[in-house]
Amino acid sequence: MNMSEHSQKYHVVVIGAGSTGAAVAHDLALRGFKVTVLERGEIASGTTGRNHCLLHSGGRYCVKDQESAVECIEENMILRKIMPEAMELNGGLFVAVNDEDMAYKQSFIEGCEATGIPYKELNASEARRREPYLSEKTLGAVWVPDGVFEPMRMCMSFLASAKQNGAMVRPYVEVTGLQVEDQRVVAVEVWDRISGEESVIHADLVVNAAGPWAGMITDMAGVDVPVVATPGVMVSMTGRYCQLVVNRLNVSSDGDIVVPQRETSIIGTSSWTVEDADYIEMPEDHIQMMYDRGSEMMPILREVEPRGIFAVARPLIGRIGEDEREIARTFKCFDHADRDGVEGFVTIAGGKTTTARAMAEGTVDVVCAKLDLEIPCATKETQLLSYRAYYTI
Amino acid sequence: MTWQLTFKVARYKPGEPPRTDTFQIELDPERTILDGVEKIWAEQDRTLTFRHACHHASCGSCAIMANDVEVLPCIVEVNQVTRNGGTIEVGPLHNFPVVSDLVVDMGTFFERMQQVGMPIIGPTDPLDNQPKDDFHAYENCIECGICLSACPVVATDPTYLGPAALAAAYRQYHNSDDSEEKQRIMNLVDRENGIWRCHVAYECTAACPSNVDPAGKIMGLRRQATVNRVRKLFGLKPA
Repeated sequence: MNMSEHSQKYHVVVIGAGSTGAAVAHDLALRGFKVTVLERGEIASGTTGRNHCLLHSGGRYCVKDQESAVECIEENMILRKIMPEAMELNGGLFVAVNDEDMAYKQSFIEGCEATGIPYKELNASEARRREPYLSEKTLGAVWVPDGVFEPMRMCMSFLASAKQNGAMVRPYVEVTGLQVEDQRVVAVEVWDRISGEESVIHADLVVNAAGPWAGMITDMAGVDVPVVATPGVMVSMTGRYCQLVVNRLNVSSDGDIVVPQRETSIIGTSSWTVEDADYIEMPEDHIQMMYDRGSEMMPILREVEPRGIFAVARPLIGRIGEDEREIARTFKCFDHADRDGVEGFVTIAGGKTTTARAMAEGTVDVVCAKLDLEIPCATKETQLLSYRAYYTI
Repeated sequence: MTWQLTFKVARYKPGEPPRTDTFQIELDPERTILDGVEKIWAEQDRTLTFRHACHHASCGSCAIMANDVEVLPCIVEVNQVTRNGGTIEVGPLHNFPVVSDLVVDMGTFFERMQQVGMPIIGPTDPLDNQPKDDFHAYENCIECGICLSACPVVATDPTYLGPAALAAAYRQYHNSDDSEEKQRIMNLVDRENGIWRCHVAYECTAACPSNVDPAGKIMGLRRQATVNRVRKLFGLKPA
């Protein structure tokens, strides 16, 4: 029996066109569902667009959050096969610039081994030959397969493929309400920000992929999800001063990574929590901290001009008041039937852009199980279309 | 410290006449024009639509007119274009169909970029440094559309391929070792609405926020097309 004949009967509405919503739309469309994506702004205009552009190797999590590290390295290896156009596979270094960093090296390497991250140790002169702008204080480094991606183009690539498989993508359409009947979400109320029209879209199932705004959507169904909006500041410097991603070889902290994207070097990042993620006021001391901490690894970053300074909220799973750096970066799919007794409604939260495909696979598995369908996921093997096709299909 | 600023925003919704709305906002002078627009949306007018994603000049999404000049508003601090108490006028790019407010239709633009087919990021060797020459693995063009907005020829001839696609064609031609691919590119650009349509105003090169120099690349393709014709006269293959 061809189960996708059955999935065609179901209309799934995805809320949000960041990396999670885009990947969910692609997975759903590939498994034969009728899909509509609703995004209140432009594609990737929220968290994904403004992210650090790091294709994680998992190195940043391999000591303290190994579940996330394994997710990252697995997805890294998959994405580089299915999405060659939107990423640079340049690799990354974890660099030690003091004795404390060097003391951390052994735990880092054990973490790489435990989580399956390929690595290679470099001595100080090898590291500085490869990256001449590294500090003279460099004591050693470890290479891992980090990369750099284009966040908006990644979303467009997922969405182009979704559109090719019949999905409807509607930017500038904001969800204003969920209609719940007999403890089941049955329709989505929307406001088209271009035409001004309000309308109602029937849905057999709604996937909430609104990132740090997920709580606004769950409120509409009278349920709750533990997502905390956790912004970070990034400073993009004029000029590219490293070829590989440069990370501090130590426990993750503020300003400990420089991602070279195109002709810029992006220093990041910091962390605090906000109630409202729509407009984020950046603390001046966080911006200064990026220069101070970034230049500990690459002193030139103190001398060159910034090009763009920005902040955006991560959607971490947790509650306000918890220490954000301690919250695992893994993802979780909440079925509101199990949790809150509301059918037809699923929230996918947490995670990283690097793990968007896996988040989508997990979410659509839940969708299939809820509808009693058995359709295997095929996104691991499916080449994505060019991001440009988003505009031409 | 914050500045008091007036934003005059060009508004358009389908079926309605265009208008200008005025907003007063308080903003740190070191924040950008895009921060100002986003703040207006967040705090004053949820009907305002604008394209944006990366906020650091790499996605190309947010390009607009600000005080009558094409800009990436994500990297222009308000203190670069006005003073405390001053006014910033923003509107959609020229030479693109306006969808809504600051949002323009990029469909034809991306169709042409796709026709040329230049990969925005080329294949890379993970453990090697890239040579610093004209052909980076990471291409400079961010597909923002600013060069088309600034081009006087695009304003009068919608069939003109335009500076972004022609600059990409130059790179694709010179990056490729495949003679069929080179011929395909030459066939695409060596025609009336391609490289020969340019008036050599160099407005595109002046406006480009990523130093792509589209006009220089168009001139390069003209030289290449001429060389290929002369070689053909002598029975030689294209260079």
